[in-house]
Amino acid sequence: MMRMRLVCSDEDESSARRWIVVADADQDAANLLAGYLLYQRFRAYPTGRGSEALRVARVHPLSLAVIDVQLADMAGRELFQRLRAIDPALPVIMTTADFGAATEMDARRLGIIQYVQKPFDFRRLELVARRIHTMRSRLAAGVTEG
Amino acid sequence: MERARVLVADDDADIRELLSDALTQWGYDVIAVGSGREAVARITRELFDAALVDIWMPGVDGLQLLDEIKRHNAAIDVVMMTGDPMVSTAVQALKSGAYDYLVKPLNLDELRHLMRRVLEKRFLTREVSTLRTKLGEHLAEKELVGASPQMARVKELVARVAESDSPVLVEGESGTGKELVASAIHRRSARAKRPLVPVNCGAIPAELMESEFFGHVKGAFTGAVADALGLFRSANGGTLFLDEVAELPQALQAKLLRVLEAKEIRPVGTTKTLAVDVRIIAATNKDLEEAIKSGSFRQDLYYRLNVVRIALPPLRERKAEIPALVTHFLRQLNERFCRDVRGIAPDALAALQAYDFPGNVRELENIFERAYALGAHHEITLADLPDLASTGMPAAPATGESLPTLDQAERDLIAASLRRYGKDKEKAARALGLTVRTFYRRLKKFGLS
Repeated sequence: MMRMRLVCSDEDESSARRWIVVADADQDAANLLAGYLLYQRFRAYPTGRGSEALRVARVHPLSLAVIDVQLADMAGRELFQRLRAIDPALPVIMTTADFGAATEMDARRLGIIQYVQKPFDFRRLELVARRIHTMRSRLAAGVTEG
Repeated sequence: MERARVLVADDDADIRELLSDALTQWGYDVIAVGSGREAVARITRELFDAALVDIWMPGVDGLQLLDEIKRHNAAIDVVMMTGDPMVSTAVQALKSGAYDYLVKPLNLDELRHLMRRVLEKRFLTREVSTLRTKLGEHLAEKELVGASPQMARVKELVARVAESDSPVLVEGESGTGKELVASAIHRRSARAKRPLVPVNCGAIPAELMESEFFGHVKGAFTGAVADALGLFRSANGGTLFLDEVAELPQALQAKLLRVLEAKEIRPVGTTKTLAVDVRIIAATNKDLEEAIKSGSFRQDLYYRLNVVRIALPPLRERKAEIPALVTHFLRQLNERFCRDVRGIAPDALAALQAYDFPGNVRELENIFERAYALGAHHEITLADLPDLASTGMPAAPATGESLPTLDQAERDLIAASLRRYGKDKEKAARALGLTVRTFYRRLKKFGLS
């Protein structure tokens, strides 16, 4: 018998349709990374504001969020918590130009999947994005075949 | 059920026909117009739920039309279509309030999925996400719920193991609350004031694992612009929660084993070792003993992690607890929203109890949250629940007209395109955004020619 996932029906939607939100107070940095991801055929959305990232997340299922510790209108950890309230399983990468140990410890306590210092290696972020997409499609396959 | 109305604006007559056919077939009311100007005239006179708008149109172009639509009625969801995947235009459209964009040639499966999401789930998603956002601040306080003998044993184990400092292995299907067990153990342990660092081992690419776990020094590799602590040192003095531990690649399993034995790590790019004091709680939804047999998980690491084992029962094995869980969720939600939903109708509860919950407690919680957001009554009724019947259990009869299956819709579209273009299969294929080869394959599949 087919087991259907009833609640997160967007889950079985191909992960390519999901969005990656890139939020950074430094709008140029956000644009640059989103541009790179778009070029790698991900659907990426750059913004400097946490409120805008939340608006996107409310209408589009996200596959990944790349959040800087500092945004134009809120701290990265606040956006993290509010995005996780919308999707408790959302994978998040935290980026920062602040190399302090306390910043890293704070970020890691949140349960992020990657901590990345700036200026970052795009390839590293791309690897993570790919890993998430394979993981999600495997998960979706496992659940529907159950 | 009232049919949703969709406005299609495209100067290409073929695309208009294709979209009209497809959308009508899927049960929408469609008005198709050939210019931005006509579209503006329509939206000022009539009501629409959604619009499919081509970005490039002579006269009033798609972006101007988008502005007009949003100015007139911001609740209309607009999907932009573009022939050339110019990302800057697409992003500009999204920033101006478009819901999404599609790149031509259109993929009908994608369109169908998107339209369904736009129109049927729109309300629901928004309600649930607002609710979740409000609940957000309280997520951290979640507790293990349940009074069945199995759950009582789990709670007892949690209390006992919290006092010790030994590694714990938590086993259970997804949604059974493995992370709740980890945080309960941490909070009751002597390490409670130190960090609990959770990590999903399945989400980290193998190439990056070592530096994520053990940190690195500046210059260790491209992108190592400064020293980084890594997970172990971030959790120092506290607890490291390794979720989906079966996903760790072999090389890291060996390194992790050494760290657990020696209690020291070596950051990438240095020969110096550093002492760490971290308690490990690992979790898995896979059978690790199976994984050991198949050679994908190290037996010695398994023994290291599996000092205390806590197995979480799936919800279908403790269905008697569903009423208690429902009451628990209801109380939480009522408190949060100052509402007074008193309970759940017997037939709704019966439907929940007949369902086997592959997503376990998390799925029950999601279903219930959703029902709470939707229901406007004093109690949760069967109508507030999603259709649980698709799993082969007795529940509510499906309401409204059912949509055709994807295969039916596809077959009908291919037939329609054949009728329109007659013998010109190349043109028929192009109109559907298919390659000629794929088109022929489908013809064969559906027995059309």
